[in-house]
Amino acid sequence: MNLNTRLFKIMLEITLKITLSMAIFSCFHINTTLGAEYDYLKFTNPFIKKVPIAVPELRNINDHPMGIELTRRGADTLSSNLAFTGFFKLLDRNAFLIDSQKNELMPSNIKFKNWTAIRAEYLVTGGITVFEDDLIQTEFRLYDTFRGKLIIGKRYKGWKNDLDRMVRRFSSEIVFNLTGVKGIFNSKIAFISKQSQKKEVYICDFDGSNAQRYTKTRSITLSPAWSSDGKWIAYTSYVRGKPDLYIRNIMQKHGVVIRKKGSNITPDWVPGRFELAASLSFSGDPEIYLLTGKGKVIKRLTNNKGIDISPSWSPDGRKMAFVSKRAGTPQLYIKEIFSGDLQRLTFVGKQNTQPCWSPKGDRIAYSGMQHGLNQILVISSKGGDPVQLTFEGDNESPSWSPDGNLIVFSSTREGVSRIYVMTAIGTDQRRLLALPGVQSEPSWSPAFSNN
Amino acid sequence: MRKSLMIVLTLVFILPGLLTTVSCTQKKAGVKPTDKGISEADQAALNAKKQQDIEEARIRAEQEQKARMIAEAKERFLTDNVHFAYDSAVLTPIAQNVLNQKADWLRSNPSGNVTIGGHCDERGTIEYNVALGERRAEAAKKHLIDLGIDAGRLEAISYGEEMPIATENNEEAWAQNRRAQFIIK
Repeated sequence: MNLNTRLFKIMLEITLKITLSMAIFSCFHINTTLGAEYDYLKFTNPFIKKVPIAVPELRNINDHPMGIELTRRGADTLSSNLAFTGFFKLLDRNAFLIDSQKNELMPSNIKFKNWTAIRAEYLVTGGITVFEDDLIQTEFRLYDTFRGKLIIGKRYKGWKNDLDRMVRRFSSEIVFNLTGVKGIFNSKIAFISKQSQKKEVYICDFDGSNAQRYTKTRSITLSPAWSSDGKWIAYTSYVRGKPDLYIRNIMQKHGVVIRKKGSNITPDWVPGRFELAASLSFSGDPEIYLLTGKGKVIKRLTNNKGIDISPSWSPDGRKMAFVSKRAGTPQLYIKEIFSGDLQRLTFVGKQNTQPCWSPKGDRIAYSGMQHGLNQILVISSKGGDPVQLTFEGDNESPSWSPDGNLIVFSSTREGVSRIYVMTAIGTDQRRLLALPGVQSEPSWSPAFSNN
Repeated sequence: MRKSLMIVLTLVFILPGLLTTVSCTQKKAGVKPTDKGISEADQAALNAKKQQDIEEARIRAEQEQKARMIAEAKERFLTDNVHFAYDSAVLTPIAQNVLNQKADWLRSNPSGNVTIGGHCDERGTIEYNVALGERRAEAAKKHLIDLGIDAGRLEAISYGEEMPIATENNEEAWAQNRRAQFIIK
């Protein structure tokens, strides 16, 4: 252990020189008996039959006093991350047949019968070693209890404060290994918060934590939209007295303003490109245009007198869903960009707006008005009958999680508008956060590969 | 309104009375020279002064009334909103009538440039309402241009559902909020 620590410190110094502020210094793959191939969870409705999973407290490997709090927090964060996805049923730790601090959780000592007996289909174990200077090493393992096999194991090193990020990384590994889709734990959510009649863009983590104000417009600001690499954000703001479109680099905060005559609204980035569609009304009525990330018009995408707004791109960038009032009421349409073919998607209801194309490509979420209130509905991108997901209060602005398994939206079900999240089939609806004032228009970022 | 009526009444009934009184005094002065030492010339000057005061009061009242009417017209211009049906930017006959009065004001105030704010009730989604509000503001603007108002004096801006004037959650409040509202720049 001593040698290990010394080696670690040497390595650490080198890493520090190279990466400066990189949070987690290293990550090792723990050899697994299985290869890369593994059966993914295949359920028609994974959110209805949740997978029972056991996450005991992490082991305090070198019995460091600081480890007591860290091991508990690590397991709690891991549990809440997994619960957030809607896939898992977290088993009650009190029902476990073992003591987590004893040797029963050592990789070589695990008795899978203890876990299958309480119907846990998966088991996640982990441990923390605390070094000097607030440095820690964590290790995590995911087991299939019925097959009695290790699926994946990882070891991370970093500062004590990086524990949550290490846990997020392994949470992503679990979800990726079990579902085949990258998790959402590194994603962020942008939204609008209104206080004292001003609306600003805020950004929080996937679970609503760490909400921070992003804009300082002291004005009305609307409709934030992420570029597909997560590096740019576009939004509408009245900073100069009317609705103009702002395109900004998230980190460096530089960017451009599109302030043509009329309204410049409802941006949506083209997947994989530094281009976006937005509705501009300089020609006299709102039409959708394709723009470069620097704000230059590439081409006009709609041509119809009246309202054409709210573009939403299919994941392959070949089609665009949007809202048009061409048939008398606002309805969703899909335009095939190269052929120009146009199809009306919604026929039920007098106001269907805010389409959001799912990252899986098969479905489109939107807001449909019923009895004067908006509800979130989902419809196949090929058309058909919509499925209503919300029923209480006014619900607007659906936005898919990057894995397509969750939908974030705003709701007035508990009073003023707040940000909520639910699974793609409408289960597990819960409030994500509540800040002073009123929150609206959430927009889920793409999955960031690294934090 | 009642105040101005009072002033008109004052002008109609009391002024002629005063004038009669004055003419009587003049007659008396002419027949019987005063023994209090006021000469006829002084008396004439006094009368002229009185006449002048009365005339000035009348002009002042007229001016005040005119100013009040201008202020009222401006107030109406700013507060009489153009209202719309739900999810509609079509100008109803009542809306057109309100806009005709706006045009009158704009004609008699040729230096006034205005912003026409398009607003919606809260029921539509936020971004759709920005588009709908713009259609409303543009419909009002187009009507004024058709009435001969210079387009350069009119700017249409949509505020969507962001600036309600009534915050209740009922049809009456929604109807008030669905509007084109004028602001003088």
